[in-house]
Amino acid sequence: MTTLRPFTCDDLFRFNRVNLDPLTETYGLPFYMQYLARWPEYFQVAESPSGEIMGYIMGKAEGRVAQEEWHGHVTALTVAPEYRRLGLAAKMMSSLEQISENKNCYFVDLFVRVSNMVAVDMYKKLGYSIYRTVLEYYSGDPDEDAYDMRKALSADVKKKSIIPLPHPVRPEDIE
Amino acid sequence: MAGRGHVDVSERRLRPIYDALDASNNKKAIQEADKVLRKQKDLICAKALKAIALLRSSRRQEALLLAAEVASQEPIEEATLQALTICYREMERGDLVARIYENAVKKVPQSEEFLSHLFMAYVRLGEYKKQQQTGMALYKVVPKNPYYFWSVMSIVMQALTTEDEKLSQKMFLPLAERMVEKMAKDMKIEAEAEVRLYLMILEKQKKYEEALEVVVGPLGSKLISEIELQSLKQAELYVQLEDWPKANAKYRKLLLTNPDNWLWYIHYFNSLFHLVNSGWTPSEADEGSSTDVITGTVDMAIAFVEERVEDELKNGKRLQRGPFLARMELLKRLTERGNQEAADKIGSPSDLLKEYFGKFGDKPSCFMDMRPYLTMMKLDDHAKFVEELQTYLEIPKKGGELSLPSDVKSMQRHICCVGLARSLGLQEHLTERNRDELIQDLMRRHQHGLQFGKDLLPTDVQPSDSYLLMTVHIKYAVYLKTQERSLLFEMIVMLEKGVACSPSNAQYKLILIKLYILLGAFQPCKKLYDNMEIKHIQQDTLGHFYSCYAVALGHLTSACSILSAMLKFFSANHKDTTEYIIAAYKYGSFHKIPEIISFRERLNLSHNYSALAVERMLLDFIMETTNPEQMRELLDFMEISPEKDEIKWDLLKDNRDMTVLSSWEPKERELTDQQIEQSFCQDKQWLRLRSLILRSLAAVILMSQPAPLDGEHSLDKQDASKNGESQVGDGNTLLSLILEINAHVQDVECQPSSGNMYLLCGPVPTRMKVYLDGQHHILLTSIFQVAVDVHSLETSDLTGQSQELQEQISRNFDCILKTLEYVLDSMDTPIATPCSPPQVYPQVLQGLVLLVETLCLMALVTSQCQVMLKPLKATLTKKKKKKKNPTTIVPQVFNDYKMFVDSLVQFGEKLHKCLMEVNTVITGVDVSTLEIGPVLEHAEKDAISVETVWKKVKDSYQISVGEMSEVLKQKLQFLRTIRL
Repeated sequence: MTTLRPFTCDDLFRFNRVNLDPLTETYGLPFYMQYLARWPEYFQVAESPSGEIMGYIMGKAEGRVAQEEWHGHVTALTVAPEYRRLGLAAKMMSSLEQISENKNCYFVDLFVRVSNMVAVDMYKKLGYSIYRTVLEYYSGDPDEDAYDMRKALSADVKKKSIIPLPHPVRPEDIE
Repeated sequence: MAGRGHVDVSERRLRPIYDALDASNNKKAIQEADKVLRKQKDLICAKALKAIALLRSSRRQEALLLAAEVASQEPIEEATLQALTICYREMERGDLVARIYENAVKKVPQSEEFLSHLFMAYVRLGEYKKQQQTGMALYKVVPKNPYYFWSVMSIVMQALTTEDEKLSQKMFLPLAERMVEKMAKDMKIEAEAEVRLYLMILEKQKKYEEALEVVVGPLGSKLISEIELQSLKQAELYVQLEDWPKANAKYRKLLLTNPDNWLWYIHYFNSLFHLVNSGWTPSEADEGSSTDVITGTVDMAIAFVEERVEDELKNGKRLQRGPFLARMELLKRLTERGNQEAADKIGSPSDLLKEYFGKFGDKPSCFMDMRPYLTMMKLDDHAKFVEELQTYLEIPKKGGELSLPSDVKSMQRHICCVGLARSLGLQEHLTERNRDELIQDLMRRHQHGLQFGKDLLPTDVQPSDSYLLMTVHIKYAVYLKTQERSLLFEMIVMLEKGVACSPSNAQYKLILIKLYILLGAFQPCKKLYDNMEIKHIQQDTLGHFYSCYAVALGHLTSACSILSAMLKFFSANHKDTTEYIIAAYKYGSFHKIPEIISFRERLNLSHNYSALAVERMLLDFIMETTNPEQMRELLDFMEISPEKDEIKWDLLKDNRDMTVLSSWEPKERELTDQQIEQSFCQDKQWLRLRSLILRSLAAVILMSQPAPLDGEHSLDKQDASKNGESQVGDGNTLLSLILEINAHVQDVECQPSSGNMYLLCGPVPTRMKVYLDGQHHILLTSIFQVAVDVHSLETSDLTGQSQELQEQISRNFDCILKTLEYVLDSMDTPIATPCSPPQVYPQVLQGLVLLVETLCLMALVTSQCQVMLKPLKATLTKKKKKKKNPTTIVPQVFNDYKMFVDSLVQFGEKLHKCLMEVNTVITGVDVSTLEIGPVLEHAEKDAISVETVWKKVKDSYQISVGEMSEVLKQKLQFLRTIRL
């Protein structure tokens, strides 16, 4: 059971149960505001019948169309511990993919910690594959690598966008 | 414009200034600017840059003058305008940014760049009318659609912000509508954003028919950014139009595409019951079109929902909860309407609930899903219902006892089952023995269940944690009844062990913070709070667990850093959000603009924000000032106006998140909105008292030192000051503040007890009761009154008519000293009893903290009295010398003052001794005899015990005492220096 609707500013006052999860970063206001002002349709929240926030997805569309790099990007995806194992993440991902399809994006991509096997497996199940490894993408002690995972959309007829790169890249090499 | 060569030269010359500014070397930037200006007097960009450097060197007034000089030349060079913009923005003078671009536009009316800068400058100021005009001017220069719609949106903003509803409905919105209509007629509407703005305008005028036409018309096909946006808009408009048949058909259709969307079910049911109420019957025409079927009778709706359930079961994929919950919702609504016959067709509540439990019991959300529907069952059925759930658990019974689960799913079902039992009230009337058995069983299961989370990452929450949480909730309820402090220790030990096993469980940590605070220990909370990485907006929503206790429990150094970190978030809010209002115009996210603006408002009006600011200022006075002049400087810096209450009481927002802690309480004990409202009122009362005290202190300082100091503050006043009023001190302001304090305290005392105890997930009462019990308001109003009277002495003849004033002063001195003695005597409870069973009394600590604070404040006020008395004494001495009349009597007030200061010092020394005793008592406590119930046993977690917890509490008390005695010593030293 899900009500998926656009995230609003007031949801920031109520997303604690989700954001107290240690892997869910709470950003400064400008970060959320930027997404809300520029890609409001890409910021969706899943609400429970009682109005509790179960999870949310934050994303954007970017990249040059001419190079066939115009794509949807998943910036954050999170579900509160109480609402896991209900398929919510898959629903929110599919909504983001649909929105990206409507915008004629070539693919959707996302970054995930290489250690987060649960997430990597989930994305694989949803049709994503590892496109490349980004070295030391997550700062911390120690820094951690990220997988850049992609899923081709219908605009990328030949699925060129997801052919894996043979070598890992550095964070400064990605756009 | 100058030639290219000239520009290059200028650029080269300016470079070192830019570099110095970038390197934050303001001194060098000023030097470099002077160097350039010596060579090229008319290079005003250098002046503008110098102004920035001056500003950043805290020479605001010079910066302002220099910038004004540059602005007066009405520059149009980009670099100069940019530098001025930066300078004014850093001064928070957005109005002046607008002015320079107004001038630039006057000179170059066709400049798209200047006009768009001007538009954005107005956005920053919220000058909607001027935005509208500028947007239109832009469109005339460059006929691009976005400019046109910027102007339209600016009209909408005028409509939304005017207090005159008529003006909004009769002028602004129709004007905006006509403007969009014109574009629509000319087929010039291009973007989805423009269509959405059109709809917003129509909807604000309740022109739903017209909006519907747009949605289903050609423009509607542009609504594609959100999924099903066109259909959703259509459905929403049918609801607005109360066109229930169409709304019903539309939501039905939407549900066919996604049978899991809760909001759609709700609209669907609403439309259904409207149709039922109006006696709708299906006609042949309705049955004709297969896509837009209306299901407007109860039977049809039941059939529709049953179909969704059937489909879901047939689907074969992971079951979605939607259809099953929708069926319960329909049943609940039918029952509530008294339509038992129809309800029976769906089934019995307990059967449906059991079925749901059977399907989703292993999901952690199951309890929350089922809770709203528990009320459908009759009271007598509750026990039986829970009993029957056991059959779904898949946990065998041994000798009538339920065994331990063999997998995580069975455990999850059992957790849900226990939660349901608690929520249904089945744990309410347990005997003490049964309750202890239950607790032991839950603890055993928690420990056993940890094996199911062995392979989880440390960032995951352990699945068996709920057992421990429920145990703590049960114990806390007992604590509320018995107030037995050993229970606090017991719960803390349990939870500390819990954290050791499940380090990412925020519920544990938030509850731990609450419990440590109840014990009067702030220090352990710091680590817990930091560990959760609570930051940014969470400081507003979750800060209430934590922030005010640093002050209340005497951790003043921590308090300073905590309060300033939090205040930083709030003060950055305006700037942070305004940038994105501009972005929303740029990207055409018009519907987000009012949303972001009201968000900015909600943060700005946060009760937290005001409370933190007031506490911070009080704290600064208490900690940072050791002479009267310093107090004046600090006051100037703070810009407090004693005459004017800056807090918008009626608009203050309660942004506390009260939903963050889980709860399994029965309905009648759940935290209610009314309780939250009540606690918010108490918070506001407390804030009002604190703010009145702060303003009174400010009034005292201004009264004794009315002349403004030279410096930024006074200079600022001249540049179109923020307050518009001059800060002249007179006794009347302070008098009326004293009256206000008295009236406020009376108000508070008239209201029912403010010492409410709430459940674990509820708010915590303010310090009001301890404050009033401790007579602090009496102490402070008395000393404020003394200040007023001393001030009046200045204007009266010391020997003659002032007799009455002097007597009043004397009486107030007396009253203060007597009250102080009384307060200290009445705090005769020791802070702890060291022997068995050991006890601590945190309220004693709170009382001591307040006493130290009040004494500090009184010392500050006394020092200001000295400032006023000194010249009086000097004049008197002079007169004495002139008259050569040695028999003149020394006025009583000087003696009284001396006696008072002496007594205050003596009292302070006594208080200091008390604090030292607290230290000894706390150190002597032996907790080894404290008996607590059995807690989790773990070989590796055994390091956590009542002793280790006590050590944390003790250390925290010692910090409190240490910091209190430091600040007290400092103020006593201060008092010794202000003799006449």
